[in-house]
Amino acid sequence: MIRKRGRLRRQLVVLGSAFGATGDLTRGLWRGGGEKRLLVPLAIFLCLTGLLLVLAAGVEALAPFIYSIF
Amino acid sequence: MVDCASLLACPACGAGLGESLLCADCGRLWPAPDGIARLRLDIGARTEIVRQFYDSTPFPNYPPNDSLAWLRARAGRSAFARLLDASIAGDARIAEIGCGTGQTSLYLARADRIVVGLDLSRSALALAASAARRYGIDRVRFVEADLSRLPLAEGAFDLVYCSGVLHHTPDPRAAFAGIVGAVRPGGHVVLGLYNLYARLPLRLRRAIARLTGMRWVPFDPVLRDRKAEPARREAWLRDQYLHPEEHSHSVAEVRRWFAENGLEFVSTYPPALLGGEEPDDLFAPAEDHWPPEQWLAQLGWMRSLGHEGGLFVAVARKPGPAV
Repeated sequence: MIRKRGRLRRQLVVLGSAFGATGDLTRGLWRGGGEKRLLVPLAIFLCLTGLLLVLAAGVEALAPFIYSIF
Repeated sequence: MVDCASLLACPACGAGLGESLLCADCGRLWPAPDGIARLRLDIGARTEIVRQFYDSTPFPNYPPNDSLAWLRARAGRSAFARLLDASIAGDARIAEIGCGTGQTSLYLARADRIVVGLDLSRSALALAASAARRYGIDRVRFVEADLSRLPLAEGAFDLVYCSGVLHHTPDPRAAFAGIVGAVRPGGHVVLGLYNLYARLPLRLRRAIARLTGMRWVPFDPVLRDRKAEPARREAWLRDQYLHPEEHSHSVAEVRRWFAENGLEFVSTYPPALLGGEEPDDLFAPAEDHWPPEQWLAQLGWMRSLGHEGGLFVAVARKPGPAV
């Protein structure tokens, strides 16, 4: 049985599995010669942006009025 | 007024009480001056200080010209109050331990529910009972009681709600153990406590306020909101900045209390999940209980809960058939 996980853990699993694909992409670009190597910074930038989006989605901005209801 | 006799117990011996407040076992007759039963024994010195504190400034108090419409409008702006009300069955028996001036008890006393509101401060209870009469609510009963010897019948309540109370007791862990018995198997405990991390912004504001001799209390939106209501402003100021007894607690600590008392941890409010969605049932188990995520979420509460003192809610369930 697959245990139900919270959103952060699901996101981390997705991000972790993406590292393999990102590594393959970077390796492919690096081996592809001088022109394709120029795309490596772009791939790294996109990965970092993805990480930032995961973290930003986790920030709770709600002000729920629990103590000062009345 | 609704008959709550079967829900109350003698604080001296724990036996049942009749409507006349006569103990069926030890024969002690408990007084009810001004219609508010006094069901407590002598209290310790530290608790007496807290009692006097709230007797001099009942919390949270009422604004001038309050009404039932005002009470419901105030609750309506709180996602938590709406969720709490929506999650409780229409015929539930509810004990609010530490009801103060009674607003939550009065708000929850709808449909066929029966609510018993208990507090140590008689001044606060007098305001609560007066509001119940003004609003025409008769399914609530207010009782003067002490946490260490609660006058509640064993397993008589579907819900025990205790918010903003235990962190003002000398030993919150022991006080929590004392409230669990009133919940019936399958019932819930809703506990509101200052969070260890979310309380930090207020502690910082309090340090600045003390340095200035309480002349400047910076960045407190609740105080700003109550500028035109001196009594309620004073109640918030004293409760948050001048309280003689205060503790704060982490989610992990509260989960340990639940386990020690045979309760199942259900969830917290706000959810201790990063990016989690707003629940539609307070008593639905949380999606995950991952300690690192709970810790990160509590850091986030400094921002989302810090403006109103850092109080969070933890929900537990007593094992047994569903309510």
